Amino acid sequence: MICKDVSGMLDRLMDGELTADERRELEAHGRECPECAEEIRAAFEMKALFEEALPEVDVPLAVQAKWRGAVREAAKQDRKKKWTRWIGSAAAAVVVLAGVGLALNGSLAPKQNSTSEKLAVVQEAAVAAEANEVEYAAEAVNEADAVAEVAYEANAVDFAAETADEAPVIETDGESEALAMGYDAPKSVAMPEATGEPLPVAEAAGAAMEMEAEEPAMETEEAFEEEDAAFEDAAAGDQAMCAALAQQSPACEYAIQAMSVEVACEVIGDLAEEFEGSADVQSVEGGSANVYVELDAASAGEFLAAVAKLDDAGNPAEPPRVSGEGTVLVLLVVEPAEGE
Amino acid sequence: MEESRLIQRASGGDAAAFNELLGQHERRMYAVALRMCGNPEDAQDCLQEAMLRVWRAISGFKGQSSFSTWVYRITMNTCLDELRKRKNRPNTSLDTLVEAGWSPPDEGDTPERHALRREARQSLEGFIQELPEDMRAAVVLRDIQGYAYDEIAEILGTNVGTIKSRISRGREKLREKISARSELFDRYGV
Repeated sequence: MICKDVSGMLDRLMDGELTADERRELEAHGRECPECAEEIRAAFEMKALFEEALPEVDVPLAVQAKWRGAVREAAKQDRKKKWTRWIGSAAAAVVVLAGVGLALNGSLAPKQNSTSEKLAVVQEAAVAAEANEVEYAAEAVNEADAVAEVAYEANAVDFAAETADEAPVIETDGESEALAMGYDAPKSVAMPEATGEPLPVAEAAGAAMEMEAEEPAMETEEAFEEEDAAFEDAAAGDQAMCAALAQQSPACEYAIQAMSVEVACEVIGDLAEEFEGSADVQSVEGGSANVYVELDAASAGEFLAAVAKLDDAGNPAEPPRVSGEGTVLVLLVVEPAEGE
Repeated sequence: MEESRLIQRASGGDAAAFNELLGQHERRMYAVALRMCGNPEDAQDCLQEAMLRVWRAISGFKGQSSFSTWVYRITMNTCLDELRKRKNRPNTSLDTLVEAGWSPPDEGDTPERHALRREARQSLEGFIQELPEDMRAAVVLRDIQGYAYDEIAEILGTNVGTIKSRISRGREKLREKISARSELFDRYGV
């Protein structure tokens, strides 16, 4: 275990924030303290090595060409999709107008003299045209829909092919899972329904543009939140399990003090994961937190030693011994440290 | 063309603008992917996937963070997704990491020193691969990519305190491993 302030100084060394004086102090300490000497030397060597690591690496030409080509292809598919949806709704509109036009021109109607008879014919023709147009529009809509779907699916298949069967085990419904993966959730393209009422072209155009706007861009700020939420859902599953365990008695209890209880809890969570356990944080009155950690008894000793290092008050209690085999439940109490 | 203009055009579906824009970031993205994935094949897959995710998402980029931070975030998420998928099948190629990811050796080095340095670099790359993913991500972004703590917090979607802790513990683990192989690093010296 190295001396108390040395760890902080080693971090500042890595961050390039050590003054010349502090550096000398560190080197001097290394000469006096054999335990720290190794770590100090390792830190200097690590720093020198990292300075030679490159933050940018040449991408092989074939790989460059591949992603650029994939993007161009995706752009093409996007344009096709847009156009096909437009065509679909515009076609429906055009057909409707044609149907209405036919009825009004009366080209289907025999020549009549009486106005009322003409009117009757027009009305009949209009009804017939409407009926036809509904059918035709529905067909056109379905066709356009189908074409768009195929183009979209082809796109989605390219992107999702490798991962479709190997999606990470996230317990969410299909759509959030797809979102968590960063993919568009495959969904059918919504078309304006053929209602049987004539759609003016302007309205159809408006509908087409509305549909484009509707398609949510993935990984907007909201999508990031959704992604986080999906992972939290998975974590919630773990938490439910831990809460159930909390009904049992912990095998032992250990308290530490921390300047920031929130950060300490997050770090305990990380540690629990490292030791292949799980942690459930519950906050308590007065700013403290109880953290229930479930892990293997064999790892508990090392885990508690690591937790002891998080104590900010300078004099943590000796962590308790954990005996037994199999999984144990440990209760950690994190209290806010007194200010200095 | 300057960045905001390229973003605008890419958002509108202009693939050429997008390719120019992301061409400025691909080498950094690849450097990150290499060290997260540990081998060039997986890194290249991640790079490809990340580029497509950025393409699909770019019309939603609202400029609340810097473009680079946003791109790195997507890159990291792609790598972490990949790593979670192959949790029990690590696949490292330390040779390649050192070939590609390190500055060329000094002209003045003796062959012996050159070989030792290469081994030291390879060992360090191996130790980085042994770090748990979250720790590896934080250390790579800080000590290799040189991002600031608050930027890293934004990229990884957590708070600065947690990032500092992960980096500190990650470095501590690396130091322990270096100390254990001191014969390699000793001669390198400072």
